[in-house]
Amino acid sequence: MKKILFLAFSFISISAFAQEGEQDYGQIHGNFQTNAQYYLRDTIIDPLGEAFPDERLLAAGFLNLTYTKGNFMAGLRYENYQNNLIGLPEGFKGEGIPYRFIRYKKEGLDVTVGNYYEQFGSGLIFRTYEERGLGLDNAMDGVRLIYEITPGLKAKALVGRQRIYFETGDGIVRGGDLEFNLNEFRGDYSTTNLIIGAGGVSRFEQSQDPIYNLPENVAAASLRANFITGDFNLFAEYAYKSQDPNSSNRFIFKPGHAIYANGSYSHGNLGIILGYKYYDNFLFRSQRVGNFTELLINYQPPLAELHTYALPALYSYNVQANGETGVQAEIAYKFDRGTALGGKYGTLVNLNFSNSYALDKNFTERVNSIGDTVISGTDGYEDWAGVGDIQYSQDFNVEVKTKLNKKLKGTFSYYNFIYNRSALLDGVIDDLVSDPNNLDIVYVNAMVAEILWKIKPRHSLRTEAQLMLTDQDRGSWALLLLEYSIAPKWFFAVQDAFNYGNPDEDLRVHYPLVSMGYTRGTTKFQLNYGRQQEGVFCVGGICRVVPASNGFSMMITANF
Amino acid sequence: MMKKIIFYLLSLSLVLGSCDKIEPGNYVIDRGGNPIDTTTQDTVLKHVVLLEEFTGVKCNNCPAANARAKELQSIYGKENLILLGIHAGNLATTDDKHPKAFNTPEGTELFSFFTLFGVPVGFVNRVDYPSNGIVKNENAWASTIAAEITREPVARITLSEDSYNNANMTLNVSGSVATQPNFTGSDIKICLYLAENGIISPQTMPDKTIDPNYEHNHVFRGSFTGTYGKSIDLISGTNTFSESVVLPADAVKENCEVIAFIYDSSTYEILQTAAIKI
Amino acid sequence: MNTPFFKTLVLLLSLTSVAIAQDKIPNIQLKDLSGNMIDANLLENDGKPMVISFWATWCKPCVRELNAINDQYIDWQDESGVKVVAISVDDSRNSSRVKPFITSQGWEYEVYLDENQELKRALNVNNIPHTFLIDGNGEIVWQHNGYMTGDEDHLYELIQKLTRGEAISE
Repeated sequence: MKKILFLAFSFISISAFAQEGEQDYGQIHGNFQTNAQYYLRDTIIDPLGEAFPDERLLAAGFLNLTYTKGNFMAGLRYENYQNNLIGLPEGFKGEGIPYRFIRYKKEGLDVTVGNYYEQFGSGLIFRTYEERGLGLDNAMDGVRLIYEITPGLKAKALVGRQRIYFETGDGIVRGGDLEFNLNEFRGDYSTTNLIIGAGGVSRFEQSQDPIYNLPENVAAASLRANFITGDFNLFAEYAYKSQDPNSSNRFIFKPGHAIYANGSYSHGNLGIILGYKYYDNFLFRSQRVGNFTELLINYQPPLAELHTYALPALYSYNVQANGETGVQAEIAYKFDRGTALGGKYGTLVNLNFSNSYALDKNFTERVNSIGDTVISGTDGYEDWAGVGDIQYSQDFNVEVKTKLNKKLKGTFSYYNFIYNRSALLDGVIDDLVSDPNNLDIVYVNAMVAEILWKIKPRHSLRTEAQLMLTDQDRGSWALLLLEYSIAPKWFFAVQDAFNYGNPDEDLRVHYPLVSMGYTRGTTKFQLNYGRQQEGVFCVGGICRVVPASNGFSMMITANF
Repeated sequence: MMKKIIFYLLSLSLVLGSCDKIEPGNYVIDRGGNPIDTTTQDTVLKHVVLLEEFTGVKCNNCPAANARAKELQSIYGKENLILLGIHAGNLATTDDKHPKAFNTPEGTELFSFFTLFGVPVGFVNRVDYPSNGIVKNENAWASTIAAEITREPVARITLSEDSYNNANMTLNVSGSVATQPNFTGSDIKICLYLAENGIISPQTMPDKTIDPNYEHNHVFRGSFTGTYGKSIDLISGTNTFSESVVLPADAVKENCEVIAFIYDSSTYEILQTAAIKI
Repeated sequence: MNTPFFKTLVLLLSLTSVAIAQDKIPNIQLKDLSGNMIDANLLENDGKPMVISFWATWCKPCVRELNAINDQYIDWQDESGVKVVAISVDDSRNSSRVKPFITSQGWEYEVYLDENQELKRALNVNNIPHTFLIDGNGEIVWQHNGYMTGDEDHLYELIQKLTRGEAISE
């Protein structure tokens, strides 16, 4: 603790100098956030008190400090969990400095020592990033070199171990990437471009397993190409992973394949996107054993739309780590003002469809030393399996945005979901499925109307009315949100979600929530009080379950 | 510049080339059906490993962990790897589909003392306590057991059943702990736990269905010496103990066994374990 | 509550008033929608004010903010010559997804991709939307986090101050 204060003081004194003399001593920025939650015992939503923490008050916070001077940059992040909020990984306990780095750039060479985040292509073989809302931070701790061999040809090389909570994992990760950018190479800034890349990553982890002959080195490689013209943009990436028996795929010795392709067309008022994904055994961690978001080396893009309205978001899609395939299609069109469908101010219509299916896996089995029939220690299933019978999800939605009059703007959307709850929430997939006809599939229809009313300059009222209809799972919901804001400093909001259709009559309750916030420049303070329904919080196809809770929560963020 | 590209591509292929390929047929280590150590003579002393797996009747991931533990026991041999299943936590509670849950005050106390939050997890000789690594998931058991089992034994525990009173279901056992010359460790405590095999009771399975006839083995049913055991003085090299326990009303004595272990109360590391059937 | 933690809190809140960040955009590379690499520190508007806004396709307040500005962008440009640069921090959804989104919203901003969120981190951005106002000399004179309807009017008042040559003191 004293170390931190000392560091902070030295940073302040350096920055104080930076204001005075003529010489450039560099600049220091920082940002800071803290989240605290005080939980109240609520026997209706949580009868057994499973989600109620003994500590009653949970707080987590962090401070980022960055120092830049010319080509030199250094920084650190101090994190503090006393303890982490319910729903976030328990491994974040205590305090420390889990992130620190020094970076130097000169003449095409960029060296980072310490912690860094990096991504190759779409992330299929390597993506380290942080997503605090999920409790995900798989930063590398090691060395990274980025070198521009010649304009348009960039090479990256890295080595290190990944962060897991306040420590680093056991597996050593090394990787390299080469990217060729045609326009950069020709020195020509046109709207037609071709970008080609190739990358490889491998990890080393010792094995003392008494049952299996586990490979200590596992490698993955990918090839990608992006062709861009004025109106078209086509991207495709193929990746391969060598034998990687791990705890998630139940120790099968099958290699992995992944394909991610995306094409779009945009011209005038029309935008079209088509996407395709095929992921087969492509979860890659820097250790064989890991849970949830720990030590992930790669990232599998979900190709599903992320819904931000509270009710539709309850059925957000999370990528199935052991394999899935699906498509996405999206059309967006802007009807100009003055036309029949455009109305007085113009109307935006967006249609989106996406789905996800399991792969058709025919598992190889063997009898193990105690007589059980298992799939571990075999090839798993055949390579390039086709689309299976089990559907993980389907999402069709329509959104219409328009301005009703000078003071009113409206967004109206409709959603239709097919959600395989057994797979997506309970993890019953592949060889764990005993009866494909007995899976928990939820069929949902939802509607949202959002109206923004600019009452007078600086004062506006935003209203959301949401309705979600389903006969399965927790039944139907209705939600009303009123948010009054006085720009630029204040906002007040009241929300109530009512689970009127719950099959369990005791759970047909209201979830009221009040919030207020104050912003001044880059300092923001927010206070909430009320009851939160159980749900999922998802970013990029990775979700964490948020248990129901009741209480006060407070958030402060600041930048300097 | 061409040379630089070729050099870079070569080094990239090094990364790709650095993957180990295991040939089919070689995936599983061939033991010819024999456990690792076939010597079963009582006189050969070994460092016995205790695997305590925390589990629950409503926990759908637990049967797989259980199977893993059994598989490891079949490889190392029952006299070298001792299993104990402690039912604790929210998933070890009864409801209309699970009439029995096997949770015990001692098990629940261990669950909260070591701040566990879910099952299945386990302890292998309770190693790695200070660094928070004591909690191991089932895939980490194999490598930890492999490391522990090769250690030199530091003590010998002998254990025997003295008497059993059928009327009040009281069991008396006694035994002794004899240290080896290489023994180190202070503040030693001894624990005697009672475990029962062959209990048929509903258990939630991986696909969330319930198997009404699941066989629960090595279920922790109670302690002779409280949750944390009793202090035992080993400075003089040998010490004896004598303890008793009342069996739970529904326990079947013939299916029970007694597990005794000594541990260092500052690091919580278990130094030697022994078990007998009663 | 943990007292050392609380003390740090107090220290940091006082820090925010002490340190005045008179600085420029760092030297980080961004990609435009055709895959061309642009140096962020070379973004400029010919001596006139510039707005840099970090957004993502999934961030509703971000989209609302940029839509609200878009409604008045033509007038803003006529009066003050301001340029709005929208930097997307969408995850590996590369330019092939961002471009149709922009076409459908009808935005006329310069749009760049901060693919690995490097510029976002270097500029100390925590949550989005986060908007910066840069004066004619390339210095960051104001920044704001979050968006409430009406914030764009306040932003425009500050832009007008800059065009009149006044200093911004908040």
